[in-house]
Amino acid sequence: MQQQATSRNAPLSARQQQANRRPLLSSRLLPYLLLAPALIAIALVIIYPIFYSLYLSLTDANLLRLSEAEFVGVDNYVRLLTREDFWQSLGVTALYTAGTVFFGYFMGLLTALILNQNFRFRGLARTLISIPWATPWLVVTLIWYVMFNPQMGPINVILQRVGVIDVGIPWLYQRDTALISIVIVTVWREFPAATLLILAGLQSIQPELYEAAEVDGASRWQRFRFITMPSLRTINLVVVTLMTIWASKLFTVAWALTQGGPGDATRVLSVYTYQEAFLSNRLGRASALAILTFVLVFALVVVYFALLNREEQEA
Amino acid sequence: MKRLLVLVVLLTVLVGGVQVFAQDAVTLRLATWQWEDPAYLDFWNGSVEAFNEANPNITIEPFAFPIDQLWDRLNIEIAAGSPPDLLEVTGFNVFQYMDQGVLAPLNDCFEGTDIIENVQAQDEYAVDADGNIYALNLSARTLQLYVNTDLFEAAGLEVPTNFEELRAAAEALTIPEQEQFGLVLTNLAHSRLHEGILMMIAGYGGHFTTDGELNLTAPEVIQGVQFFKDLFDSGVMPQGVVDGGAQYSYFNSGKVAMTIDGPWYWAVMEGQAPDLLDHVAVYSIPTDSGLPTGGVNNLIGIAAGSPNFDAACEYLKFIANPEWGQVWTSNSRTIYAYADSVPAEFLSENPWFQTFADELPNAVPVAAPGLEIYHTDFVRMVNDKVVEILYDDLPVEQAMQELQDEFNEFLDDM
Repeated sequence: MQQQATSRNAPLSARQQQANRRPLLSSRLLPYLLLAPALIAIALVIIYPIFYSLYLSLTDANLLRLSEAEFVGVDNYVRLLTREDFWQSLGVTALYTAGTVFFGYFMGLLTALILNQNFRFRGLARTLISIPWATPWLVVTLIWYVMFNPQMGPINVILQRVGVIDVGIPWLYQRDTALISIVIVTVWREFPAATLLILAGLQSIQPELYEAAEVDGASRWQRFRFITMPSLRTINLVVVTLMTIWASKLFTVAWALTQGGPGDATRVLSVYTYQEAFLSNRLGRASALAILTFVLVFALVVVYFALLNREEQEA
Repeated sequence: MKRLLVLVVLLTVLVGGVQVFAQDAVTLRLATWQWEDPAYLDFWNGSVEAFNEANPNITIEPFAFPIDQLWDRLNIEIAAGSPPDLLEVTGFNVFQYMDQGVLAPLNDCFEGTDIIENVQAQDEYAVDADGNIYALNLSARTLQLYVNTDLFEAAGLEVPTNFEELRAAAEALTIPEQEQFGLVLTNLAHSRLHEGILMMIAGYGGHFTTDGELNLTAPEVIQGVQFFKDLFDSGVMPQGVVDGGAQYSYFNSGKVAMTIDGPWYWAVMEGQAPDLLDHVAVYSIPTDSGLPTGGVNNLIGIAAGSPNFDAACEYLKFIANPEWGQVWTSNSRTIYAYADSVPAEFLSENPWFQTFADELPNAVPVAAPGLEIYHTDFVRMVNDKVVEILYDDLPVEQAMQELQDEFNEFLDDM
């Protein structure tokens, strides 16, 4: 006791002074230190490649002669923006995106409304509906490649058997049907994501609202129009925007099924970029395409956040 | 102190000796898509093993990917400045690699050897205007007619020898009720479609170019493309045949009377449809000119800037002889480019191979003369347009004019 009293009153040694300083782990640097590994990874994997692509887009870089790349300024952008095949590709991308989002959202809404009802085996149905979403893209394209086969594909066989067509349709090989075909495949794969998001939104709607409306004599359609859809506004915005972003940069389905063909009928921007970079070795021009696609998708993201912020403020 | 000095001296000698040894030891990377192909296993593994034994200070390591992945991987390595030392290339993309400076000239490597005298087209193929040779020709091939003899005998038909007979036989042997087709050819965007079209054009005595200039409105081109379209429209071939594998599947089923393919297909049938072999024969391609497409199809070069050029050159010289050529030919069923590479006993056991060997000197080159360095882009553009002709009924003359204009625009844009 006397020793402790003595040690409390004695001046602190250098070692004791150091021990009393705030340890590093509880300093204000801690959050940044903990975030640093992730930020470094993001910088290396995402930020650096974007800036390197931007640099390449200002050169005439050839994949096989990278060291001989020369600065050409905005020449690649001017060439792209004045070429018909760029605008054709942009138009195909817009059509593909619009079709995928419209039908994907519609299918998602329909199935979510059904799954929100009480019926036997509802749990099983909810599980089964997720199967397309859980299937890897490559497997999806292989399945549908067989489905669309002009001779032996089940789609043509069924349509012929019921008398809708006489001969099998070469779905993936005609200009008129190729784009629709890859939209069908994309919708099949992605609508479950919309279903799950919308279903979550439906289940957050207070049942008392429907009860009150029913008491007031509102029809089913009126309850859907004046209660369900307004309540889902934020969710709908999330679903539509996410699906738009996913569709506008999707590569696998267009490349695996049609490789951008027939002709340029399904040559979305991602396929066009791949062809320029790895088939024609025009890395500079491909990088310019990639940057333009990035700007397009980024603009969509900005719109999404602006609309979401407006929704939140109105709420 | 003395002990320490001795130790330091010993260590210096040891490290220096290891370094000297390390400097003499060379590791070569050899890129080919055939490393795991049974048809080429004996050649690549055997020659590499024998070369390593003969040259203990040189080790050859595989750079192996399936062909549909290899070019992307290779291009990335080239872009990164670390290409494999030895590159097997095709008779189509070699020109692009030459033009892009990817391959090193081999004239010095071949000096003092008999390679140029004995390797087919060695002083013609993969040679630039200055006479620089950029690759060793490994193999050559043509495409010929495979016939299901049972189907022909059952129909009482003779094997066709020209376009008219080909059309008639294909139509007579197409029986939709039995899901039987007269002919199967790739008819979707694939290099085989391009060559199928060229086959018909060459059958009328033409090519995509005339005197080195693109000429898609030439009568032989229009006639050739139209003939292919007419065959397609008459229903004698299944639609949606995407590549060689799909072509094999149809013919292997025994329900297709004819196909046109290379000598490797016999090896494929041995593996996939051995029961069919006794009912298959090979004949000369049935076009009016009788000229097959093909020529040099595989080559091997040394990467420009490879620090191991001399060692790589030794390997090229090691495999350029009839002994390894006979291993290649016997196993792969393609003709090794070095003279006397078709063993007599192989021919007597495989009489079907004689047609391929006999027709090789008549082969029409697949890469359009004058446009070799644009071959990849040209094939893609031809395929896109032909698919529109076949599936969207774009008129042939209009399509060829459009293609001519598009390709000229492409050249202006280069």
